[in-house]
Amino acid sequence: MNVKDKVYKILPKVSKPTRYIGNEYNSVHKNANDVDIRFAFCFPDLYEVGMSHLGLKILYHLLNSREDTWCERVFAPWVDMEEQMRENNIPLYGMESFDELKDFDFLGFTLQYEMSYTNILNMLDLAGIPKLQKDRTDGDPFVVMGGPCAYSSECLADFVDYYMLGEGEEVMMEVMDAYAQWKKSGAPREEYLRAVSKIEGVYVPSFYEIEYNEDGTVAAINTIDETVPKTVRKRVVEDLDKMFAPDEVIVPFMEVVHDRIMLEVFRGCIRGCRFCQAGMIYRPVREKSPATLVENAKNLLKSTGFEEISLSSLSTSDYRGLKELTDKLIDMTESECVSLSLPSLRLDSFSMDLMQKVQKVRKSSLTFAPEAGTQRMRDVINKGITEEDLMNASTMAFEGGYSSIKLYFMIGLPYETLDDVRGIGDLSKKVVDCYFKVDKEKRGKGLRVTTSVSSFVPKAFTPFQWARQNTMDELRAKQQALKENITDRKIKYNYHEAPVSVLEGVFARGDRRLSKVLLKAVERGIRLDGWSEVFDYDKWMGVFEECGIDPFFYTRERSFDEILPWDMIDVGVKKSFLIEEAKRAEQGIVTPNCREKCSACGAACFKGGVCYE
Amino acid sequence: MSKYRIKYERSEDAKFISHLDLMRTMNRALRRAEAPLQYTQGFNPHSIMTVALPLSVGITSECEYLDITFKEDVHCKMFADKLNSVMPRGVRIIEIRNADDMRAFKYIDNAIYTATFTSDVAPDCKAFADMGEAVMLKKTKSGEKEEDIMPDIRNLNCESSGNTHTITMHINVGSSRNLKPELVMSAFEKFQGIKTEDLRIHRKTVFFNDGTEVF
Repeated sequence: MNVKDKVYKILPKVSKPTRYIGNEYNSVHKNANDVDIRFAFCFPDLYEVGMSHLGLKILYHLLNSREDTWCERVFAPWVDMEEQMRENNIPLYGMESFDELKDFDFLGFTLQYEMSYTNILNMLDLAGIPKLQKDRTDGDPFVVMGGPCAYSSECLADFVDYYMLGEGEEVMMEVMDAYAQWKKSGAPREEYLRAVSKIEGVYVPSFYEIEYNEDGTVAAINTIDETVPKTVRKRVVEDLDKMFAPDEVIVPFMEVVHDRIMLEVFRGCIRGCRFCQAGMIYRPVREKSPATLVENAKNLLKSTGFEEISLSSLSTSDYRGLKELTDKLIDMTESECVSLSLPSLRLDSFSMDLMQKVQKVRKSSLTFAPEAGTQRMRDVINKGITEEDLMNASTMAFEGGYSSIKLYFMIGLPYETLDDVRGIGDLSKKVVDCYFKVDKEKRGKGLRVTTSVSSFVPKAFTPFQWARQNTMDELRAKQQALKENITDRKIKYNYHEAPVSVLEGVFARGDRRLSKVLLKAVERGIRLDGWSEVFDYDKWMGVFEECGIDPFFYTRERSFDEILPWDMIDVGVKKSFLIEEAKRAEQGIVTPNCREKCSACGAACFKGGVCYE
Repeated sequence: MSKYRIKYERSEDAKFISHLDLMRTMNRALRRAEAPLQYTQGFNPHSIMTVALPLSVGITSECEYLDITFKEDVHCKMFADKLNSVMPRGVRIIEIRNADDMRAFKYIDNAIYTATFTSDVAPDCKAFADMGEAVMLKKTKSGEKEEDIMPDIRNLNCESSGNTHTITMHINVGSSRNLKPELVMSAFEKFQGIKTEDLRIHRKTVFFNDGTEVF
């Protein structure tokens, strides 16, 4: 029986079977005999999460635009499906062809968040492909990785053949060309890795050897020989208007997390918040022109039938073409009965007006992210927002008829005191007070302020990459202190569970020695850590103990002169800039955004975007 | 404004799509085909679509129907072709007719299904019918209750070839009485000990209460 028949037999027994069947409109079906390269785009989480991911949509259609390549999709199965697959000896398969992954040339994993790493190993296990890079031989697929976490996922170095760092639109085509050539030549496996290691943005970890000091820190990062680059610089696309952007995307049967057209208005962020990894690694800011976006939106509407468009970027209010774009999109959406959904915008008269125009439906809630409760803390993290800004915005929202506001904060930030934590409660209360100051006639009924608090995880390539992460006890104490400070019943207080954040922090700044922890974890049945109903902290701690590795070695404070496990990677932003920013954070000095004043972070090396505006 | 009735089939590739997901899928396909959809007024405009007899997940069908309101007339054959060119695999438009003068779906009353499976024991339709009653646990909105399903079985026919068997069942469906074909199969398991392997249930024909086929 072939894989498809086997799968169809077990599907009546699992929840949400459409996760596993493919065949959606705009999915690409080719004849396997007509192509040279078979690429499995593997998203290490569930279908509905992966199908909301813009990178997948872009790279899937980009790879399929090649005549010699067929790219298919693979997602992590949910618990019930995995159980059925293992019980019935069904290997993990490509969703388009139902061919097993062993038959592919590439498995490409995108690394979006640390808590998906176990899913990668579990997927390799389900596919019956050797997990360790050194165990894969002729005939096995190459396992490649990319995405934002690829810059600092040394804990996966033993499993990956190579990483693609930065934006994939160009480098992906180059490594495929190199593959086609290598395949024709019949040269040994290593020759292909040699060839791609010469392509900018490609990092082949097996060509690097790490030496450690007695205290466990990195002593040296050595290349195996002179031909291997000492550092690998990420790739960026210089001109987004000329970049590949698909004019059709897959239309899922089931409702996915973002079930709509996503227009990527720009990449990067001018803000430079010190906790934010995305704000650093995607530099420099590069915009798409409204004309490109409108054209793309038109084509996507026609090819998909979606009834909603949203704008996507790290901070859409900073898009200089926002007025022009939204004017044009509103015209278009009205005539086609499409709704335009706006991301959370900085509140001013323009955005209020825009929301009025777009929002035909009942006024829902507005979201603000002050991130910290006191001005001192906001200066530390370089979040350029004042209490006055928030009060003005809240007043404007309430006067505009809104009655529900969501506030996002973090706890566990560097230099944070309990007073700063309590400040979150005080600030939330002030938003409540704002509401009652607004004329009864104007404001909406039924005030609700939702204060959501997450735990800060220090990330590589940020000014806080040297910072000590708060322990679980510290985080819980802060959560409790805040809970006691929020007495107003109009405020709903939510917080994230601390254990996941702690583990995320371990892998976010880990080194290669963690690979054996990941292996052991998957052996013990650990996976789907992003799902609270599956996540098991105690089980994880047992695995660390079994491996003789102290997880808290990775959450400790590091000194500026320590060699970091990811020092072979160059994201453009220089270490010296990050150190400077870390020092300014300690002193609470804010740094202007990229458009106010260039701080010479280093991203100008990419020769484009905001650095040359 | 005109109402159109679309007859379509759902084959193996589309049998795991839930009813709600299929509605969304059809809606998006209609938009791709640039159908002159009439939208409801109000805060949340949506198209005016009714699907006859929602199909259970896992069942294929050659007689699915949906009614859709257009703000202007279309050429049925041409529009059916256009719609087919933008359908996902597994769903195929068979025919479109103007439905302004057609009977509403609420008059749907009975349907024919086939169930094909392998089993070492052959089903015996005559023996089944001769039981006179077949009390089964039926899931309803208010919970589970025991009920005789025999009155809702109009006709049963069994055919076997080796250990592959097909039961053709004509049963009551719709808003007044509704029997699910899966439950008939459970009854065969309960009363005749038939453990089905590789069961495939398929909807063949749907009738109104006056005995006419929908079309």
